[in-house]
Amino acid sequence: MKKKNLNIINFKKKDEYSYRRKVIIKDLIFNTFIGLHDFEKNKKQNIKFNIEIHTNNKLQPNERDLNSIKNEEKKFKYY
Amino acid sequence: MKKKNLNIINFKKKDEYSYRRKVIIKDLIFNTFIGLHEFEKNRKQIIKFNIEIYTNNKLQPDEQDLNSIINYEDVINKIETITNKKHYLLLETLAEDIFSNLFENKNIISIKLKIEKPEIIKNTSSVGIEVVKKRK
Repeated sequence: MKKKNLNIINFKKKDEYSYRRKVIIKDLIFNTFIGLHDFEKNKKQNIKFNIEIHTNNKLQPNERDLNSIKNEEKKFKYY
Repeated sequence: MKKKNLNIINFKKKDEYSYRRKVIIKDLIFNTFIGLHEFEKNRKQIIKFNIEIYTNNKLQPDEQDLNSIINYEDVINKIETITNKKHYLLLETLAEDIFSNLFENKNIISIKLKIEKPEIIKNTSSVGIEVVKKRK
């Protein structure tokens, strides 16, 4: 068979590792108004957050591109 | 049927036990330069490592051969060297360099690495990352 008649099949290279990454925010505490009760409407209380954010595991961290990671500080703007 | 006409099939002996072994390093703390911010470039801060390293489960521990185990002191020394080698801007890139180094040891099957900054954001115990990397 002539070489030009051959279809070249490229097999997808198998990943060498499995990989999972998450960002963790531990025991984030805010003092705020929250809750159903009347006494809660009049008095602030502590609420505690624990957050784990799993990222796209194909995304390689890059120090020149902050979109390649989850920035812990950005999330605080929402509270 | 004559014996010589028989094909002998040897079944693989089934393992009697399943077995997993890991090395644990808990709350390893270094004071180092790390982070994006200007104030982080001028001031050292504490970072905390928690590590679990799963070893090749076929490897029998042998007191005469330290290559039969994962030596946690070696791991700690490597992490310290890598952490102090340069100013990392991201915990993620520090983690990647630690993985590259530790996975050179073929007896390491998987690593769970958590790196935290306990002091960087007030109102928290810590912020950080956890990465699990496993050979396929």
